[in-house]
Amino acid sequence: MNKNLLRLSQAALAAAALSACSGITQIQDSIGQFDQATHSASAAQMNFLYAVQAADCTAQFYQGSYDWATGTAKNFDLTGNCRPTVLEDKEIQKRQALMDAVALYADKMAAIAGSDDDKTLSANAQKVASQLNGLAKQHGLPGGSIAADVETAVIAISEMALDQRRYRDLKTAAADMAPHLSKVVDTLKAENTAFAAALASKVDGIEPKLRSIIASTHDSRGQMSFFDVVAARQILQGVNPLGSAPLTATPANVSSGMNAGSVAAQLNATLDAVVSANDAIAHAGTGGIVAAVNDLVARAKSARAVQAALSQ
Amino acid sequence: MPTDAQKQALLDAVAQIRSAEQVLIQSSRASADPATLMKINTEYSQLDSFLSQMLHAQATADDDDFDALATALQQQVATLQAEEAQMQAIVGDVGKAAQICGYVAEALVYVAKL
Repeated sequence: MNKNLLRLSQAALAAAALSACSGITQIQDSIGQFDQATHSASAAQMNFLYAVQAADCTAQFYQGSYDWATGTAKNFDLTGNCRPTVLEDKEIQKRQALMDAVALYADKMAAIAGSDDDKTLSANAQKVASQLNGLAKQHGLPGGSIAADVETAVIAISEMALDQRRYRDLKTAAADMAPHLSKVVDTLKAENTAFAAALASKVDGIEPKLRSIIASTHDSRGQMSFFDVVAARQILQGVNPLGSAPLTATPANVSSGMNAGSVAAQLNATLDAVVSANDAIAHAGTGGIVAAVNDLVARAKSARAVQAALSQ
Repeated sequence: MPTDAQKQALLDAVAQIRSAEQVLIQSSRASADPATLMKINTEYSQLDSFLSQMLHAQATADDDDFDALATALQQQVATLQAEEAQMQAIVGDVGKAAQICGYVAEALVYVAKL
């Protein structure tokens, strides 16, 4: 009887140990996915900002060409020379710094979750974190000044990324960094909807120019205007970074399911999912963490689809 | 650095100008008259330029830059009010013209808050 009890308790102990190991592996796996998905969100966010700038420059080219064609400009330009009116390079660099901080944080979490005793980042990531930290402390992040609380968040996150002693536990790290992560994410989210409006405005503005020129040349072109209309349609499809034209809701782009507004909403949902996954790491059990990270992974997949469309 | 209230005013103004642009696009699709289309283009360009300036103000974090951009936007209120009248004359559809004017007027209310 005593032997049986002993065997039973040994089996129970072995099962508990196995279950704990499996839980640890599951968490490690989830944190790895958290890291990858956060990098995807970061890349999609930056691609979106570059797409806004590209749409701005495309619109400038069409405006210049239209002005020359209608006699309000003396010359036209084929070089693609552009002076961004919405997002200058320095303003994009500033947002890149914020996304770098978020990605570094995810890298550090992956390092903490690793079974290796060494919880430090790779040499390259440490270099990025160190630069970011130094610049933020000197109020010198790329692109000029930045809100004090966002700067504080970047300093805290980069210090956490460089830390070699304090953070060896995922939950403590996630809880400590949660407010800073939220601050950086909220800053980016607030702008995305407005930048989507800019992107749509720039691309939509090309259509009335094409209509105006087609209508003006119809008398002289006669039936050949048919080909002008077809070519104009192709131009509209080409200039829209989301692959369909125009960006306002029409049957053509409703079917593609993507317009500037929905892209901003998808990016914001992905950024929200990063924060939610971090909150789960800080406060939830294994099941909650896995669920939150799975949600982030799904949203990051959508963000990658957006990124692919914007990269074309 | 724009305050939260200023940022919200900018976002609201951007949404209104964007709505006005969309109605202008609809009006352009309803016309094949070269003169009308040319005027619509002019009005659209004005709105787009205003929208770009608002977004640039939102994107900047420099206090001096923001103040200068906000002042420039407020100085254009009179011009945009004149555009409202122009748009009413160009857009044949009375309902659409009223919509555009409504959106622009609303945007100007928000710009005044900057």
